[in-house]
Amino acid sequence: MTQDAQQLPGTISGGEPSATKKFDYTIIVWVVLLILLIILVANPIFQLFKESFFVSEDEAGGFTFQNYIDAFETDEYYKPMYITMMLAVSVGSISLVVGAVMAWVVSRTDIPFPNLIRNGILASFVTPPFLGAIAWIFLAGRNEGWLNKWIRGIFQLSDEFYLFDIFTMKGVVFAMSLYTFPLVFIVVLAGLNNISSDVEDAANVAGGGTFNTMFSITLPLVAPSLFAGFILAALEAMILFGIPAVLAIPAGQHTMTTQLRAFMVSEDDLLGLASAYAMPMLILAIGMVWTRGIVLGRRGYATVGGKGGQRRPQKLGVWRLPIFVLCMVPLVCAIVLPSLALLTTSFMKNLGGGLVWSNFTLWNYHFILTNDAVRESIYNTILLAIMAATGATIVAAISAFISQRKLIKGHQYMGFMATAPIGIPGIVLAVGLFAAYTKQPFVLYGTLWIMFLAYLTKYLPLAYQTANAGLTSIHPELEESCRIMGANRLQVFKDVTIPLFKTAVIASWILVFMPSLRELSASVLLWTTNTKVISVVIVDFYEETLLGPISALGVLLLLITLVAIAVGFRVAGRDFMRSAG
Amino acid sequence: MAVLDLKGLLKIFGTDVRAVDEIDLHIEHGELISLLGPSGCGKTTTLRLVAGFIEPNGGEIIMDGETVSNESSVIPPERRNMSMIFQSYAIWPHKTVAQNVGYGLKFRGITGAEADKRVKSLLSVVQMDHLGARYPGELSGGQQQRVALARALVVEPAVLLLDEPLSNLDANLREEMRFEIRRLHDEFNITSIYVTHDQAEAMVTSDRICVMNSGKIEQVGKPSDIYDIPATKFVAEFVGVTNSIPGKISSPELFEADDGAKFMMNPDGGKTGELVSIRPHRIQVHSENADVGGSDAQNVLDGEVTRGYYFGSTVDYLVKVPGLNEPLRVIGDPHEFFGVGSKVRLTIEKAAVILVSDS
Ligand SMILES: Nc1ncnc2c1ncn2[C@@H]1O[C@H](COP(=O)(O)OP(=O)(O)OP(=O)(O)O)[C@@H](O)[C@H]1O
Ligand SMILES: [Mg+2]
Repeated sequence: MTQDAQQLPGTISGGEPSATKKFDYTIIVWVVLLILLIILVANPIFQLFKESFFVSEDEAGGFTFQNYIDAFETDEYYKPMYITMMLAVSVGSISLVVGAVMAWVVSRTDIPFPNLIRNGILASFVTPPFLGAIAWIFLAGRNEGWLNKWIRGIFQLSDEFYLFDIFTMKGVVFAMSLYTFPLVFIVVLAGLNNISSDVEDAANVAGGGTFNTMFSITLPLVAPSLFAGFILAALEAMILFGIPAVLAIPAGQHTMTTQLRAFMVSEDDLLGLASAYAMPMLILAIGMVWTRGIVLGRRGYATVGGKGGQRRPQKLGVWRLPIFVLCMVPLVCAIVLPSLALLTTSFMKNLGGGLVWSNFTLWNYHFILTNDAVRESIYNTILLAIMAATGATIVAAISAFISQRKLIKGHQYMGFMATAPIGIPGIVLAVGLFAAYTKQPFVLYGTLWIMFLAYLTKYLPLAYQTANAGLTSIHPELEESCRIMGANRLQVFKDVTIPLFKTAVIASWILVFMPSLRELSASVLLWTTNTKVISVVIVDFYEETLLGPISALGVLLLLITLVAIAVGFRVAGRDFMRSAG
Repeated sequence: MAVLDLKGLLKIFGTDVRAVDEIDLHIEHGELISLLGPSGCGKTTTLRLVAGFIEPNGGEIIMDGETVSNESSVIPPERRNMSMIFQSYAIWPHKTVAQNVGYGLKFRGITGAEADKRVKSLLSVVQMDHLGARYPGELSGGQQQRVALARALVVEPAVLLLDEPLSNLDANLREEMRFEIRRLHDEFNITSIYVTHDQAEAMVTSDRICVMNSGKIEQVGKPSDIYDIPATKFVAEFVGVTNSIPGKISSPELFEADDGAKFMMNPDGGKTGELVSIRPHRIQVHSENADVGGSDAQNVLDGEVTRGYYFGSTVDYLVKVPGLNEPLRVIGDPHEFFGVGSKVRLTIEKAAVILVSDS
């Protein structure tokens, strides 16, 4: 093995003299991790693959291509694919434009309150997309939508008139983009901040004007980030289940995710068909994640703290305020309006009743807090989120530690294993888990465990990246200096490693806990009567048009999330959300 | 205080990277020796072997007569009573300055008031007494370096190891800290190994310098010896600029360059070798046909200036000399400037011509 010049001293494999040479504990670690990986990833994907080649009704279990033929030949099933692709491309493009422009404005201009915009965009991860979509029904429904009513009121227009209709494909694109443009924003902002100001100054000095510099220097340099951002947004649009379920199905359209669910809940056993149908999504998603990795050069967030001088922000002049207002629009649409809409409807008797005292009620809250099924779902949700966060964090912390400290042979593969599930869409994962764990000898279907597995798999990569980033910042010399001062390994661990690693571990826990609270796309396939979670109940209620209780549940969900974030800020510091991007 | 002996120390990374290649080195009580060499020559590895962070593949390390490392057993770092200063300082960010400095004391049974007293006194030695309550994040690079020094010294270690402790500081501070390190060494007199690839740093701080190259020791000696009487071409060229002239010994104390020129050599220099090394500033420049007096103590050569850069305090010449393939680099006095094309006469003291080997 040749020496990697970048390698830190003290992280030498086999370098550290070890007292425990007698037993090779490497084996145990590997076996445990391998079993975990098989349970979480390999087996579900294998079963998915296998099922796709069998006709479900055929108990004899004959090999067949029929599932693929059915899935891709029938117009009815083919159309959702087409729609999904169109959605991915349009949502990706819109997010790209909005996210990139806002990132540029925040990083390069003298816009007022850039941090407000930045943090606001980060905060839009707080609203689960399906809740946002429901809130937008209140806001932009064709007849009853508040915005439409308001405009009619102002301009004295007839009841027939409407400006917005959320139950259209445009509405779906709009709602999705609200929750995907932040992905582009984060990636592009990081890309922009990585460009040394000298590079741009040099172009300016050479006579390039602002826009010339932007197009000939800045743009090519952030091109990888732009591409990566587009991919992220398009991928998200492709695998989202909540928004199309809420908005597209009533409009009479299926996307691949909703179609997949339709197969799974069908009276007939369509597991084989569903598996075949999931394949293109799986392959596309993994392909996209892979391309993104290549484009970004796997550098991740290695921001070089160069000495680049202070950046001179671009003066916006008279456009300063208008552009600021423009930048607030997506934020208001993604967070402020939906939250307000949910909050108000949660206290309303009648959705169309308006903001009058006679329309005020606490019944919605009373209902969700007394209804046994809802209460159980709240309990399940919190329990699952705690389990997933704890499980993922433990696995992530251990494997990141082993990988960074090169503790065992083959440590190089640790990162790959922990991030292997990256790119597997939640709903596809759920089909795989269903295929794998509904039959003997492992019947997990119907228990919380199968959902636990889904969450664990889905969020392990995120937890790993967070833990790993945290560990990277602990220079091995910090531990070695402790050692040479007289501390043994255990004391080093206690006095240096744990205190320094703690923040990343807590951050990773919260970063898994939060999305687990509102996980929908896997849960919606895996729940059974006793294992409902809040997000599933909300979708259920939506199908029964119980909009008031939905709002109350939504508000509750937001509250729990906010508490988690507040705790995160307190214990893990302001920047703990950063690794979420 | 301690005496250190490295005997045939060998460290192989992977299958064939001989990072430290069977080196022998003896370090006296209270001596500050620096390991000087280019990047990748094995300095850090040597230091980490001494610290006990890595185990040797051969040879041994003996401290005060006791073997602390050999192929089969290694006393762990925490039981060696050594201190180390790292390139990254390795100040613990979650502990205050005082906590950082005081950390090692508890392992030596020193706690409470006595520990506080020592921390205080060490902090004042490094001129940081007023900053004990700060966190490292609130310190400048130089201050962090001082904390690292205080932390290493407070435990009164038998051996102090320093791995390029100044390389992260900017030039001014680096110069200041060089003297600081030497001052602290004179005050505490701890056996120290100082790793650096900066020759000026090594010259200023060390009692002896050990020049390393690709895992091997080229030469060990006092800074002036290393500079004035280098043993190898590598040492001569690494420690300052020099003219290396290939040739052979034609008779005792007489060296004949490949292209014919003859030089009388320093009798204290090497006895065997394939080159002579002549430092540019040991060559005097005179005008053509100047009367330099015939003497047994100096070589006289005539040549022509092919390049002359004026630097204010010196002039940097290249002088083409018949009988030498390469022009000689000469650093001359600026009061008399010779332009390109001038014929000049050069004199070189015999003592400045050092026979070196070409390893
Ligand atoms: N953990 C390792 N695994 C493999 N090779 C290593 C390892 N550490 C060091 N080496 C190799 O051993 C040689 C000596 O490395 P060392 O770090 O001791 O050099 P150095 O003299 O300290 O250099 P520098 O001045 O750059 O710090 C180099 O060739 C290096 O590539
Ligand atoms: Mg080194």
